Amino acid sequence: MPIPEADFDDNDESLDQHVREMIRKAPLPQTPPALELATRRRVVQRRLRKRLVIGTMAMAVLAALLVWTGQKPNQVAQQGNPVVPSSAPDLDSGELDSLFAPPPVDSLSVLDRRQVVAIHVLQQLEERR
Amino acid sequence: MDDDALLRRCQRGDDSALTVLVHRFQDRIFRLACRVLGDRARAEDATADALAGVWAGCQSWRGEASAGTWIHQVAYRVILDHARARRRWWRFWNWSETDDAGSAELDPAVIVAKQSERDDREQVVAMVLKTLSAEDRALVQMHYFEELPLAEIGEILGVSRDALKMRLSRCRQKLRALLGGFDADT
Repeated sequence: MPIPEADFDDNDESLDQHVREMIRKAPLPQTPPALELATRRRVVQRRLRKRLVIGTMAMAVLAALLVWTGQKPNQVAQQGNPVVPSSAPDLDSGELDSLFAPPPVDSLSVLDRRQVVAIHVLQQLEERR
Repeated sequence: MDDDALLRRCQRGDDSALTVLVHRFQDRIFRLACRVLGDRARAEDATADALAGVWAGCQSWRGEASAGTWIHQVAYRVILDHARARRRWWRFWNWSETDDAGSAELDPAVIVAKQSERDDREQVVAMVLKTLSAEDRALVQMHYFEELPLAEIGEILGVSRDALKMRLSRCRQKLRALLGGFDADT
C-alpha cells in the first residue's frame, strides 16, 4: 500500500540534512567490474543445483517404486500355496508314498517266531549233551 | 527499455536481458550491500547472489509492484540473509563477543576522538552506522543516500506506514546523538 509522503513530516530538517550530507560524503567502494560474470556463474550454479535436486528426487521415487513392486509378488507367494518349481520331474503317487513312508519294521509275530526257533535249537543242543 | 519491459524479457529467459539487468541495478544493490554488510568482498558476493535471485525468481513477479521496487525487495531480502548468516556464524565461533551488527554500543568518547581527525569521516560514519541493526542501515541508505520516496522504501522493506515512521524516527535520534556534533564539512 503506498505511503503518502505528507505523513512523514520532519520536525528537524536541518538535522536531517546534516545526517544526509554526512552519509553522502562518506564514500562507498566502486562496484566491482566482474559482477556480471559472478552473477552468471551463480545462475549456472543455481540451474545445476535445481537439476541435481530434481534428478535425485526422481531417482529416489524410482527406487521406492522398484522396491515396492518387488515386495508385492513376494508377499503373495508367502501368503498362498507353496510354489512348485516347473522344472521338477513328474512323480507317481505310488513313488511319492514310498518316498515319504516310514521305514519298514519287523512285526511282533516274526520276532516271536524267531525266539521260539532259537529256544528250540538250544533245547536240542542241551539234550545232545 | 523501462524496468517492467526488462523484467518481462527476463521472464521469457532472454539471456541478453540478464546483462542489462546487471548493469542497470548492480551499483545501487552493491551500495546497499556495502552499507548493510560493511565489507566489500561480502557485498560483492551478496550483490551477485541478489541479481541471480532476481533472474531465478522473476517468474513470480506479477506486476503488482513496479519492477524496480520488486527487484529491490528481492535484493534487500538476499542482503539481509547474508547479514544474518554472518551473525549466526559469528555467534557460533565466538559467542563471548558482542554482536557487531546492531546491538553494539558505541562509546561517545571514541566519536569525539575521531572528530579531531580530519580524514576519519568515513570511519566515523561507518562506526555510527554499525550501531544500527542491518534493517535500519538499509533504511538509512535508502532514505538518506539513495533518496528513495518513503512509499517505495515501505514497499521494499515490507513494513507498514506506522512502523516505517517509528523506525526512521528511532534511527534519526540515534544518528543525532552520535553525529550531531560532527561537522559534515570537515
